Amino acid sequence: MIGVQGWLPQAVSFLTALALVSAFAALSFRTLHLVVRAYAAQSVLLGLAALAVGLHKPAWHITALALLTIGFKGFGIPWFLFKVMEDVKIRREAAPFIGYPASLLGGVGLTLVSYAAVRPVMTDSFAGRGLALGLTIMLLGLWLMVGRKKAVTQVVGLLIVDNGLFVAALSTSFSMPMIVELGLLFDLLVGVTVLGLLIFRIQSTFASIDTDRLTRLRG
Amino acid sequence: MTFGPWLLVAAPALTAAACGLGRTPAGIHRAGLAGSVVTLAATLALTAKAAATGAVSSPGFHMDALSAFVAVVVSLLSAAASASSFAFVEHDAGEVGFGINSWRVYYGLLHLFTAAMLFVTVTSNLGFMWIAVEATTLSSAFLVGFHRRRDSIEAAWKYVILCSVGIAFALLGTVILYEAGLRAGNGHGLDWTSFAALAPRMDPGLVRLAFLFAAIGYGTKAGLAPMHTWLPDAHSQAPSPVSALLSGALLKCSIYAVLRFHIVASGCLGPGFSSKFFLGFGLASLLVAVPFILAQRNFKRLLAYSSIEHVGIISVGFGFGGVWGTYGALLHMLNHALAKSLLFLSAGNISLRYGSKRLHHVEGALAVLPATGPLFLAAALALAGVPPFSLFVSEFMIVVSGFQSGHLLASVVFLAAVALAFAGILYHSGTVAMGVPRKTLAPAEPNPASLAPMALLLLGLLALGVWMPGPLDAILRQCAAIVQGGSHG
Repeated sequence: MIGVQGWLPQAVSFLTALALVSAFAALSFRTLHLVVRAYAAQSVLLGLAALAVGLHKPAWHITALALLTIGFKGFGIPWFLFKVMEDVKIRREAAPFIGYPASLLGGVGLTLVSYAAVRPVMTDSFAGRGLALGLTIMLLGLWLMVGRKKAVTQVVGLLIVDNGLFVAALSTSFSMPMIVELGLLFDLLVGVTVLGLLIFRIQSTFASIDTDRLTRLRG
Repeated sequence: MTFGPWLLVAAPALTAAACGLGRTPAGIHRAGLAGSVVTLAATLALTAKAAATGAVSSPGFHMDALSAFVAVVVSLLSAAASASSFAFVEHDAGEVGFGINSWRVYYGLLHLFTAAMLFVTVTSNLGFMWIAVEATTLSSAFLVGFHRRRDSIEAAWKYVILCSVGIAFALLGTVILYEAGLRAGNGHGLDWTSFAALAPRMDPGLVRLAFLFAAIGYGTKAGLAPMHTWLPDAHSQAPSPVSALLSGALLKCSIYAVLRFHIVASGCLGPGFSSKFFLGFGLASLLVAVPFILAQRNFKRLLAYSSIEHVGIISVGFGFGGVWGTYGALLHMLNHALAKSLLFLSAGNISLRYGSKRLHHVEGALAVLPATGPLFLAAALALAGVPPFSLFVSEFMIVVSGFQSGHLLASVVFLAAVALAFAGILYHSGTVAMGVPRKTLAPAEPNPASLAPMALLLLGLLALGVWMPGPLDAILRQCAAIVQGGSHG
């Protein structure tokens, strides 16, 4: 990897490994509040990893991006989700389709799959690890979406998928043009707002936000 | 003429703002229509320039023949949708009772959606292309859920969730391609123009991975099976002009995004790898769509499944490759856009009149809607691939290229699926058009404003079936060369 040496790879690996742990935590928690907090913790960890990259280079735009990430994903979006949950007065269980032990085991399986998919083509260890880890976190987010009924959990799953992308971008040291990164963040904020509004509409028309009620359209 | 491709994003975005600030329904409608006509004129002017000089460029934007071709499809359908929307919004606004705000939201989002689709086609940056594709989902989410009935909200939820997850993988593909570009010495760019030139020197393993993720991601948005599950819901629940845009224009934009990766991948790996993807997913889409077309009970869902079928046809065309397969697939993108938008608009008029989308409630449209009925029937014939309509020409090209390139089994499967879909579409549309109405409805047209754009769409379908205009042929040849990696920029 271009320009990565010294303490940085260790720091980034440590923080992103903790982010992986928080993805598993989101899969195992039984209340919606804890699932959202797991996402918030994961976002802060990834923001810190980006901050480490930014300070190490040093590059002000990565530092700024890291601070924006911690602010929006670590605090702003979780706050918004808590507010949505409060306003639609949802019950607190995360309501699984797939049981918790099965969902953790599935998560381990997905981790192995994504490493097997990415490892053979990655010769460089830092970027290779980053991409494999990013794909793992994306698949775990997807797995969370598949396995839970509540609309809010599906949004959190989507956000974890997005964090996985963040890890993948991190592995290229955020050398992508800054404006693209800002655009991605903007898209994410609009997306969360749209989904939040849709949750209100689901609540007001279905009197429930269990997505297993959303089965009228078939065939 | 000094404006660049950015105008194609700015014009509909300004139109959206004007519609958002409008005071009266009629004023908002006029502003939207005027804006979409200006956008269409600008698209055609830039297309002429791009076709003459090879490409029109300004910083951050790059419009070659392929971009221009897809942009024309988008602007054309957006103008048709804009012209026909009034009666639909009036109907829904009356149902929900939100007054002027329904008009502002509907027309504002419709043009924002157009701006996002045009941005996909004219940006030169793969990162922005991704952002624009996600923006198409977000801007059309509330259009899909515009009715605010249970079904529409369910459809909107599935649409946003599934498409956002899907294209997250496309972004991963983009990041991997960027990494491959970095290693091949691309510097910090994400421009597809530079990737296309760089392709031969990139790491094949990384490019393969990048293409797979990008194609699955954008393929979700394009409605390729098995990632199509959101499509029948979203396309059938949206107001009809929006369905016309979703089916006719948005699916083409998504295919365009896959094609940009296909060009890089074939430059690096040879055409074989990504063509297999197109062929496999195209055939899967055909096979998935056909049973649902045959057994359908809701006619807007019938059209939605037929969109999956036609995306399959286009994809198979790119899979067969060669000059004729590629040319046929590109021509089919235009033909399907014309036919499907005409069908959705006429189906919308029919369901306005009958107050139902169930096939067995809606019979005898020829008698009940004296102008829409014949247009619907003609469009259904065109969609099924009956000559002299232009879809027959493009499907024929694709089949011929399949047999020529030695894809015998795939060509036979393709023919069988198209024939079955032909039977299904004709059977269902025949009962809609010619059956005996269940209740007596006086002959009337619920949406006279839509008749002129619909007639023009039909004229296009007929004209292209018997005659290929020189400029269009030139552009399609350029596009085919670009897709096959013959030239770029």
